[in-house]
Amino acid sequence: MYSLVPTLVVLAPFALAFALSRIPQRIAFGVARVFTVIYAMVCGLIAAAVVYLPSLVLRDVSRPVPLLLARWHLEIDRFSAPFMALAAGVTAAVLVGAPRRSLTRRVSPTDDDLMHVAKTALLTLGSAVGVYCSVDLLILSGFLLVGLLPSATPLTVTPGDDLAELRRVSRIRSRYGLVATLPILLATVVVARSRFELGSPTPFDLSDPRAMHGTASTVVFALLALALLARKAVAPLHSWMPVALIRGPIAVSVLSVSTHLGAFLALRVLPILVPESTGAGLRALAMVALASAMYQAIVALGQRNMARAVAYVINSQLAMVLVGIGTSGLEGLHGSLLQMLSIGLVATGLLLTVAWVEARAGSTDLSKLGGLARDFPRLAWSFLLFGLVAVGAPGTLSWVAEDLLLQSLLSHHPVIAAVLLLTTMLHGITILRVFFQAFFGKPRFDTNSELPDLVRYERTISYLLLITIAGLGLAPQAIIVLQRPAIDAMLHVTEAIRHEVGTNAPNLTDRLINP
Amino acid sequence: MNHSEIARIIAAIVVVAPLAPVLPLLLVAGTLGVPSEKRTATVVRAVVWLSALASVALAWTWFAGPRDVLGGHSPLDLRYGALVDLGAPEHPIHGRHEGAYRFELGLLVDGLSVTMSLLTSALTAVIARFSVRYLHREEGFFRYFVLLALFAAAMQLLVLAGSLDLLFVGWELVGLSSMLLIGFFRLRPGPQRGAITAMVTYRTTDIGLLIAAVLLHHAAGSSEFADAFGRGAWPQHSTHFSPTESTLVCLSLLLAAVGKSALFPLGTWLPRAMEGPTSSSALFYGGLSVHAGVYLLLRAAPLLSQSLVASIAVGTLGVLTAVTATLTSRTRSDVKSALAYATMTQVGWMLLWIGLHLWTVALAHLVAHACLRTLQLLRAPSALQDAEAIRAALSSERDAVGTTTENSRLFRWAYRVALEDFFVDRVMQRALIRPLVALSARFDAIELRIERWVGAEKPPSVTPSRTSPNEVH
Repeated sequence: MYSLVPTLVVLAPFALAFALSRIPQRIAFGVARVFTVIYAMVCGLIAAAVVYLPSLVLRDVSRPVPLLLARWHLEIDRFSAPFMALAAGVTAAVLVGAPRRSLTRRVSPTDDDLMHVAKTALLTLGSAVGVYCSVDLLILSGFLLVGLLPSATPLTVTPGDDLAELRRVSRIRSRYGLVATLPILLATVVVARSRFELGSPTPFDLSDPRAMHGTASTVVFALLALALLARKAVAPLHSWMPVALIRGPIAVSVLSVSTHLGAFLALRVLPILVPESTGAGLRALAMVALASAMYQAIVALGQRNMARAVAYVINSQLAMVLVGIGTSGLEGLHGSLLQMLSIGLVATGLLLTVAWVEARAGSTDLSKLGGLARDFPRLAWSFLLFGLVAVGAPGTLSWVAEDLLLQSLLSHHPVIAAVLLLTTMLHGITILRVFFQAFFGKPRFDTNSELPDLVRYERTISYLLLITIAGLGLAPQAIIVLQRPAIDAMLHVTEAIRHEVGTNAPNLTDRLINP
Repeated sequence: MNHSEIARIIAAIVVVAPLAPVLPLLLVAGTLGVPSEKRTATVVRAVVWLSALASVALAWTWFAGPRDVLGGHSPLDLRYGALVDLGAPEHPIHGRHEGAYRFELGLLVDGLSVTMSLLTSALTAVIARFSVRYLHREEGFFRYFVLLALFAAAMQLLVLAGSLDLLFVGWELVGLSSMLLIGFFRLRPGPQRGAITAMVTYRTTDIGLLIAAVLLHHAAGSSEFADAFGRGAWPQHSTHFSPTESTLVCLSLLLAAVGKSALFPLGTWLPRAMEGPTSSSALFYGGLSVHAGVYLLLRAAPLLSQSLVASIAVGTLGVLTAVTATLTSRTRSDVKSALAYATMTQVGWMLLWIGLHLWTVALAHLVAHACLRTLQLLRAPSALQDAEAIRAALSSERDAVGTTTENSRLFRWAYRVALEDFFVDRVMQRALIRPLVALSARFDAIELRIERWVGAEKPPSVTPSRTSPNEVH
């Protein structure tokens, strides 16, 4: 169905981001908050419509631009719609629920700081939604590049002692961002050349069924794999993520984790462009990701800072997503997709809770915390519940996801499964140890009874996130049914390659793009 | 409505009734404030009693149900649909994924599960009543009752689960409620340490259950007990597993049982778990939770029957646990620790019966021991009074528990070893925990070095002052 909806959905956050400078600073942040909540609702409605009307694919296609050979081709389908809604919901949750100092990472945030934060969050959100909806590789790369810009700026220029620290974090993020984006741009060039030679009139368009072979395929896979590892913060390209999660403004950090752009690329782009290299290549990537997951789980285990421990656990779980994708099996792919959704919600909840702890206790250093549950029981419940979801407690979405990953691995790759089991065990120990050390025991900081427990906004965000997680955990079949056509198509491509029967068959690629 | 449908509804009530008020109670506490003691206790006791009545009705339904050719009561295999089914729905192009993973929500009602369900209902209802007075005006009254309701539901799920997957859900929730109740007195360091020890042990050994579930799924194509073990009456099932498959699954289950039932060498968490309220200690570590491992092995009777290796392993571990625990209990001077080790001793004997394939003896031992130990633990706070009363009645001095005048060399050696818990903790510390923590510290140092190298010179800053209330949000 041809529609302007994808374009409007993608461009709306950009439009507001640019308009924010013209709105009085006093109300700019409030306007952005209201917008993100409405935007999240709209995205949720679109996702629901796409889910319940399986034949509905919202598509906006223009003619190719002469010489450039790219075209404005956006689509919202059953595969991209849930991720779009997730990104929008997470942005709204963070802008509404996060303490201002965590949003800005400034001791005394001003209206100008808050406006810049809102602008950054909107640009990041817009670029993520753009990536989800893009069916043209050049447009997709453009969105990735745009997404790099806000995270590479220190958000504000208002002078202050903390400006240097903000700049430092931005510098690291931008360096790694380049590592995660430049290879995609290079790959785009190689793809264009190669597919043009194959006779494609629109070489960037992912709905074009011409797959690449030979050296070009290997080169493109290698470039995209490099970008993927950097985006998913897989060791050794992971250092930006903990720094961003602990020291960066929370909105951009949470969006970096929750949008899963790397995994999205792996699922959506690789099997179409380079099916030949995808099977074995993804398995190799899965090995690297597994080692990274284990390594980061061990790093998390001994942390004495709540924020660092949580950051490394989240990072380790991000790597686990790639392990499932690498198995290319039915259970593994379903497990990975559920894990992506789950991490998006859980990471938001956990990072917000850590920010709420920091806002009250003045630190996330475990040696300075303890006994928080006495003064802040709701905060304690919040951390415990999000923590339990993060470590895969039964009845939650993460548990279903981890179970599927293990089912996929244990029969064919028992050693990998054993490592994965140990990793999840370490996650559990880390999160629960942090909980007991921070919230139980003797209070180690001066009690200030004036500080409130979770306030109304914070409670609302917690409840909404927890209810969503619990709902999806109790009815995971809804998501599985939703994602099944896309996964079936991926499996079909893999199967076709295995049997060497025409990987160029148009119906396969078409189903992958429009499941 | 036929017999099976009635059983389905009743079984669902047994499991869901205690769980039903947990989320509403938490939401009320989070929004309107913590409900009063009276309201909390009334709601939780009502659902626990409802579950207990449903449990009796379920037992009656099973008893009055059809019998197999040997005259035994046929098990009721109750299915409620799939939580996860990767094969469904029928796809117009690819059809159904044959052999795809399916997680069935099903309950199994047979002699074993009915016995355990009745035991669970009875003990939970008694403890719920006892706790109303015992915890009156205690700060965590609300928390305790919410966790009690969660535990009641989880334990019923564990014993009635029709598949290993679903049993794992109950198993984990039992562990979670147990861990949080150990840390009930949250301002004291002892409970905090006890909870962390229990959590690490549970988390480590639960891997066994996960592995067993996946192995069962791949060996039998399903982790449903009825599919994997046949549909005969417990324990006379028959399986088509090879001895190797049976051994692997049983050893995985044994690993899980080692943690939950505090078997040697991972039982040292149990005495530490006694830091929780006495009523929860009685329910968890005298009555139910500690016997979950025994139940698991009893449930795996058809597999153990086929595996000599696993049976020997179970029996040997049982004897080892019994001997070490009984020796250690004699070195403890506080009554709750002594009772904890006594529990481990009895659980050890139960494992021996299982290793010898004396299933009914083990089940009878379990039920009798659970009732007795729960009563003993509930009486533990009055132990001093009881001892004085006995002394007064006998009009003579008696040796205190755990003291003796024996002074042989062997005795001194045994006493020293038992006092140190057979050095299990030290060995674990040196062989496992310290190296892992050291590895973590080394990796962390590498991380910090990399962060400095990429330009994040400054360590994470500590916010100079706390936010005032109006700046929190």
